[in-house]
Amino acid sequence: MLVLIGQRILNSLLILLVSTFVVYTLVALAGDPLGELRDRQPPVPESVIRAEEIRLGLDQPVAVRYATWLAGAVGGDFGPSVRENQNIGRELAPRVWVTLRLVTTAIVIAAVLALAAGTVAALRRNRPTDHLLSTTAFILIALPSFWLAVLLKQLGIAINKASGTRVFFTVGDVSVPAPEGWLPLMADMAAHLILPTIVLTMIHFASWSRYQRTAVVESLASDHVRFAVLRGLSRARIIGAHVVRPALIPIVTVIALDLPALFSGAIITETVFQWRGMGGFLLESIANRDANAVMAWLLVAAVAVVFFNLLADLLYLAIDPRVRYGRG
Amino acid sequence: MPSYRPARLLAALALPLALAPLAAPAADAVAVRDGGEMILASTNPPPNWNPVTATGDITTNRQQQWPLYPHPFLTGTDAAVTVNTQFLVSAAVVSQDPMIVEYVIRDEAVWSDGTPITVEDFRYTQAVQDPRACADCKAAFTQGYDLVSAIETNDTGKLVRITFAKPFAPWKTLFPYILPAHVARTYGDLATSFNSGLADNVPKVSGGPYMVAAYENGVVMTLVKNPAWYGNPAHLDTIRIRYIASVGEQITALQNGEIDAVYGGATLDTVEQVNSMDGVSVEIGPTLTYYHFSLKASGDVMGDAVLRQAIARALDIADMTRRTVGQYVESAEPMTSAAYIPGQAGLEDNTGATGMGGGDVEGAIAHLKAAGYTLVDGKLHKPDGTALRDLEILTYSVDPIRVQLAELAQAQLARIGITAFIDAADRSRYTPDARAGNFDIYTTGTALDLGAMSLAQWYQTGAARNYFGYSSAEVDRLIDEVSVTLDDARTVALTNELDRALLADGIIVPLFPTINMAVYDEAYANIFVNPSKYGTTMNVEEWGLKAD
Repeated sequence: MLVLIGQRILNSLLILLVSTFVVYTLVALAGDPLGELRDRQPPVPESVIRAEEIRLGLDQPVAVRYATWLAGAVGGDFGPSVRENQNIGRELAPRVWVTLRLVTTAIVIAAVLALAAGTVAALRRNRPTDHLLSTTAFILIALPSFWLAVLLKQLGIAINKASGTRVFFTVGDVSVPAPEGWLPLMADMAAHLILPTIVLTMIHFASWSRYQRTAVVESLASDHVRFAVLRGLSRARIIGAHVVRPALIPIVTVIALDLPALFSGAIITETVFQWRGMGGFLLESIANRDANAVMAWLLVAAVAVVFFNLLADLLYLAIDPRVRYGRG
Repeated sequence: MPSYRPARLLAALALPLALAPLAAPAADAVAVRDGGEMILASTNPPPNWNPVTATGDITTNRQQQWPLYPHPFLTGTDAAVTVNTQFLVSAAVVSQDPMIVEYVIRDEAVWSDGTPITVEDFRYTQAVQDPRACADCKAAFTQGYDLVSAIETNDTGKLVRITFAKPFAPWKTLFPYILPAHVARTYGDLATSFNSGLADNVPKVSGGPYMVAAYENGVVMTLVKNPAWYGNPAHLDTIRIRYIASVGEQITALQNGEIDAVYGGATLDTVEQVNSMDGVSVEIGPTLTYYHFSLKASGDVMGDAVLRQAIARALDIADMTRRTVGQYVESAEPMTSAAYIPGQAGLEDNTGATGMGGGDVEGAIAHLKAAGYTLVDGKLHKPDGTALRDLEILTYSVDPIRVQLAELAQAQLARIGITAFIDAADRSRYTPDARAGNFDIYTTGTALDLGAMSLAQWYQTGAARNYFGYSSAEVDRLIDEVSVTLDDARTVALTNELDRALLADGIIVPLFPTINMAVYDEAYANIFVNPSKYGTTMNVEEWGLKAD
């Protein structure tokens, strides 16, 4: 197992090295990060622009800039940002936490709902329950998340106005000013989570539930389930131990593959609800043509990919005896 | 159309000239009570804390930091510039040769830590923007500061007597923010204190009505009353500036009561959004920045003044205004000058006088034919008989109005046989393409905060933004003269002469001012659209909850 993990990490590092170079080059060639400064009215003195070029290393070839960035990144220094007073590492760290808070809540709820809905739909295949759950899932898959978010915000505002109490919040992860006291603060943060969590949950629940339904249907048709039935095992035991458990492998894979993308930026949700997370950081960095900032984001995202893929491998071990015995 | 009160719109767009002399840029401030809080949204947190550095000198930062500094002059809702008598006793040119300006600071004017605001603060603010004194200071603007030859004072330090080596006509634009010299000294030398000390650190002192009580990076800045404030008493106890990147999301947050006020550019979408809201007041007004087309004055075809003039004649400014901002601002007025916005003192109908921008298709065709151009099957041919090549209109894809303007120009030019294609460039290509001269017609905007000198940056021979290859001895002469003219009436006359010279050359077609919007909970009052680049906080001490 350790060898497997080691191989995975080594492969990931190689991929990371190549991808960082490609992304750095693309961002560096995408436009002039000082374009806005050059376009000011009245014009900014040439000496200032020159000083900024030197500070950002724009007077160096892209390959040299990449090498400088790589050397710094290894030591934990992500290099200068286009935003002069922004320390990239210090800016990114709290954003990782903000995104984690949003995504973790949504993932847990979406995964539980998807497992339940997918399993029920498969067990009630081609019956009204299945049709209802499947239709709901297809509608949610078809809904653009941006539109769903805007719709939910307006619904939240309408409920707030009708009830005369602000239950739903449309921007940020906490009120301004933040409530005093631990409990009110937690309650306020939880209230800010409601709408963005619903958006993220709905989108992912829908697609994951379809995977789960397919996996359970396939599992139901497998030989070991037929054998379990012939052995006279109870329905609950058959479904729990012989149908659902092996059917978890595909859904674990799908969730594991989706997690890094989610973690690295639930971009649309963060944008609509104005959460200062990873997604917003990426958008701002790209808009500013801030190559170093984009690279920092990429590193965090890449680490997330490696971590969650490893996590998926470990989960296979836990849920599928064939993997354990195969390795043994 | 927006749901603003008609009287307010009229006040904002008609730019009334009657203003209270005592530093109140508000046109019609109403009674408010003391106390209360407000949350104002802003799209950007401060890029740094020094609003006169190149990085810090952006619209949102200027507006957020205005309440923290002393300012010699204020801009009214009518765009008139007046002495800030809360800070100064007077500010005037006392000698024309050499040019000497005297500022007299009020005795009561102190920083929030009790340190008097004196000539030392002026000296520091001048030095960091003068490359002769500080070559490494990253100042946004150095013009005028580099002409200062001496700064003298009296024994109190409250007199600031500045001598210029050469007259500098827009002297009122100098020192928009007076920096605290005594704080800067604690950070090190000029460059270190300016580029790092004052830029990286939350301001320790304030010379304005409010001071920073707390700052949460990228989330909120909390301002409280400056206890040592020497001007008209501020009313609100706390003002929080909350960072919400999109104006659309700001308006939704206002609708939900999460913030109290929104200030920013008005678009069809945002105006429709506020139009559907109850319980808010809406102020809409023009700014000193206006949209315009600038025409290339060099190259194979645009070097011909006749062609440029015909294009400028055929374009219809009023029609473009009506079809763009006119869709959501009932009283939007087209520009009649490239030097003054509608309603501003000094404005003359220079487009009318030169016959430009009136959509005069027959006149444009006659002008072309007189120079040997011909129309063959509706397509314009040059005097040598060859067809005129397609012209390129460079516009900015991020700004829907500029894209729409390019499309309207394309349609209007077709009427005189000119085929134009639109290059809608994104942020990475728009300015580089303009700088490289990769266009025939450039859709852009100009801020008139520097008056005639705002035109100099584009149209003076060899100017920093002269992407057009334009050079005119007459225009250069007028710019040289207006830049050293200190008499207001003469400045207006010269500026209009310069304006007419540019329009007659077919180098610019002014369109209409950009429109700003203040939307706020109707419980508050005295929040106005300020046409200057410093924004709505210019009268922040007057903001408050309505008295009744």
